[in-house]
Amino acid sequence: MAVKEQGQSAVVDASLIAPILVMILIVGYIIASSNTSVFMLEKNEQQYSEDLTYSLLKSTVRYVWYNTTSGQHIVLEDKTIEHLISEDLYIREHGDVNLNSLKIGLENKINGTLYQMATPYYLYSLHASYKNINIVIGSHTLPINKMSYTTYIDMPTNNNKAVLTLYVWRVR
Amino acid sequence: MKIYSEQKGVSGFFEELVLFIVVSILFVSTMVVAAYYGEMKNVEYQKEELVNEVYNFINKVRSYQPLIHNGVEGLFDYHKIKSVTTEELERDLTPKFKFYITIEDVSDYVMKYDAAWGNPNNITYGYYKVVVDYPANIWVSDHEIHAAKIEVVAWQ
Repeated sequence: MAVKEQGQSAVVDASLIAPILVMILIVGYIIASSNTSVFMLEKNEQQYSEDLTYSLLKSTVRYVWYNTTSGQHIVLEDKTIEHLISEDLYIREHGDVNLNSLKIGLENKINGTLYQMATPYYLYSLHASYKNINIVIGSHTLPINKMSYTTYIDMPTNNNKAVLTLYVWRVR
Repeated sequence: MKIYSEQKGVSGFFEELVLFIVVSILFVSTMVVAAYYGEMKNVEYQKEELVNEVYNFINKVRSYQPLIHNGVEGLFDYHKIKSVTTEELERDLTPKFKFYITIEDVSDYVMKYDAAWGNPNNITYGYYKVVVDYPANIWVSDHEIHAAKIEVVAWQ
């Protein structure tokens, strides 16, 4: 029995493998190179959330108001937003306030200032808490991709601190 | 019984001609996509570079002593922002792009202290254009600090 077989040339196979390897390398490079820009954007946006927090807290508001439960109309002029947030938490803790008036006369003013500073490129959610009191200004739902910055603000009558976190996310 | 088998191998080229053509088409397609992606990436890269440069520029503006109050970053002095010129900003901050900067007073105060530098009419001549908003404040007195934002339109 004699079997005579001639093999195929490997040159053809090699000439096919080379371009396939090149294609794999190109696709790998394309995938790998798409991540660097995201890092820079996140870095800038993290800095943005921090600077927005400080600029907001530093800003003064011309005129805010709220009513006490006994019907007294309280007016505050030229107070920083940091002061207004701590006062908001303080009077909520002590209970002598009409909560609806607090939302309309004070928190809406803070929201209006923040809205003007952040939009149209960002949306936000400001969370402040002291003991068991929590307030949220802006969006009540948070997206998955967001930046945040947390700081502490002084309460009006003691050395205690309230926690304030500002979440921001890009919308345009 | 005598079995005789003579199998001649094919040359290889014609056998794999179809495969060769398929791989060639895939290879050329990949190169075209890669070239297109490269061009897109280049445009995107240039734009991202510009965005990063604009952020750096905004940081410089926010720290520019002739504009700010008591050396506090991001706290513009309402009086100083009226006296600084576009030429001074270009000379001292040396941006690598054309720009139009506005400081917009977004507070609830009746009196606003807006300011602007650069020429917005030239923006249409730019190939890449980016717009970056950043928070700031305008100092009027120690009891009156306006919420503001600085917007930089940059183009190359």
